Amino acid sequence: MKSEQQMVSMRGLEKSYGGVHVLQGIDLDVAPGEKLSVIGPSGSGKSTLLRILMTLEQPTKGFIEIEGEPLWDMRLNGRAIPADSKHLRRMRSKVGMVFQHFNLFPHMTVLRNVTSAPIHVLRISRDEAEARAHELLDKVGLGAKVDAYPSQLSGGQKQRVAIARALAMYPKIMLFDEVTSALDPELVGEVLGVLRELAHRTDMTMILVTHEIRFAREISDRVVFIDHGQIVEQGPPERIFAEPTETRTREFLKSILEA
Amino acid sequence: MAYGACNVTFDWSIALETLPALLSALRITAFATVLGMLAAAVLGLVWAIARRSPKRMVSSLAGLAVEFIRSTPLLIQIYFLFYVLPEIGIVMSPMFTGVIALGLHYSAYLSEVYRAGVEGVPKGQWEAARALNLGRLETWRLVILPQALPPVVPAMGNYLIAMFKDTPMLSAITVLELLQTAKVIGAERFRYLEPLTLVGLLFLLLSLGASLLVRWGEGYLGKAQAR
Ligand SMILES: Nc1ncnc2c1ncn2[C@@H]1O[C@H](COP(=O)(O)OP(=O)(O)OP(=O)(O)O)[C@@H](O)[C@H]1O
Ligand SMILES: [Mg+2]
Repeated sequence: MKSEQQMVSMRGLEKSYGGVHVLQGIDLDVAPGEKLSVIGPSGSGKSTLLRILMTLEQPTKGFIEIEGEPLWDMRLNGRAIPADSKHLRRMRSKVGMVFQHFNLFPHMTVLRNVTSAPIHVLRISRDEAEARAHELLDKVGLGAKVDAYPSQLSGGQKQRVAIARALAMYPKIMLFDEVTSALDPELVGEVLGVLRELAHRTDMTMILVTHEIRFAREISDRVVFIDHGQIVEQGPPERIFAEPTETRTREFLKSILEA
Repeated sequence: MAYGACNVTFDWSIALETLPALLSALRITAFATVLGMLAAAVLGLVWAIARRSPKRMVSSLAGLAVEFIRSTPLLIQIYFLFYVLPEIGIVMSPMFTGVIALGLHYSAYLSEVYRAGVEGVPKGQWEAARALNLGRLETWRLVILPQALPPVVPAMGNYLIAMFKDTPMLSAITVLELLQTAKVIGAERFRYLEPLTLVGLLFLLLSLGASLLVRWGEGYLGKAQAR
């Protein structure tokens, strides 16, 4: 059945809050190194999907595997039992996330934002963590800002620090949740530039929730359109954006191109 | 109406004579306040963190404990520790008992203060910490507390002053703090006016000074927050 190992594999994934069904049975595989874009109207469940993968939320039903290992369950003597915190932390180490509103640590300098998790979680030495942080910050164009505090940075700069911070943990999968939509229009380009570099130069698996159609078309291997917590349509970007088969996809694309 | 009101004029020489003894008792009072506050600060933090534990048992027990401590008078807690604990074999000096009682009582209030501080930290900070795979302890230590504590320092200062003003209750278990010392002096000299007045003045001066310090700290922290 499993000819090749998927990086992420979801089956019948459901999530509800109270009586509200936010995800209603998602089946989705993501191949290693794949760049996947997730699009869909507001409230369709895109963030929830990423948040479950990041273990910020627990699914109501269904299951997820990362590299063939269940995320929210673990096996004990051949039986599946709910994951304990040790299992979750091990699985979580494979995934990193960049948020719409950056969520940088405001009381730390840029350098400390990037080094504290590697030092305290990966237990690498401070020198090594700082050397690597400098390297990553150079890559995102912020080598000169290591001693600044987040409040002294523009939105675009903050988001680039957040990307460097997530990369410093060596994730296999990176999740990007509308990382440019809180930015002033003139700052979007610099962040997309960094994402483009990542997409083209690394073999990291990337899942991006985005409204930037042109960008998604340029860098993704595949686009998934979600509406009302269900996958409506998916395929290569050229096809989804040029000739969507579903009416809902067409309407959605029309609505955001008009905006 | 004239009888009894004969010698109620403030005698400065008596006041000056009793002052050294009172000042040395002030050291005991200050000592009890500082130690009590330290205990309250640590224990209050333990309550606050326990109340946010993902384990239901832990969080409800901590909530219950805080509620219980806040709803019973300090004096009863002091008596309880002093008279009941020895019956089950735990004997502590009056001073130590007093510090524990003050610390325990005020830890309940401080846990509320901490809670307000923690609730002021945006949800996104917890999420970023989790996305970076920080453990529970590191999340508190590196991310949450450094943001939650500075804004509540003034509120903690106010509880420090309140605790200072509650130290006379320790006289009930024979700790020789300010009030108890004044009572002893009064009994020796058959004069209560001067020592008690001085004790009141000392409390007034120190509380006012501390309030000013807290107010200054508020302004200072306000500016630091705006950075
Ligand atoms: N913690 C929560 N409690 C209750 N409802 C929630 C919660 N989180 C999300 N929802 C609801 O779930 C639905 C999907 O939310 P989600 O954030 O996943 O949508 P989205 O596709 O990311 O939308 P957007 O494009 O606006 O970011 C929304 O209707 C939202 O109100
Ligand atoms: Mg969203």
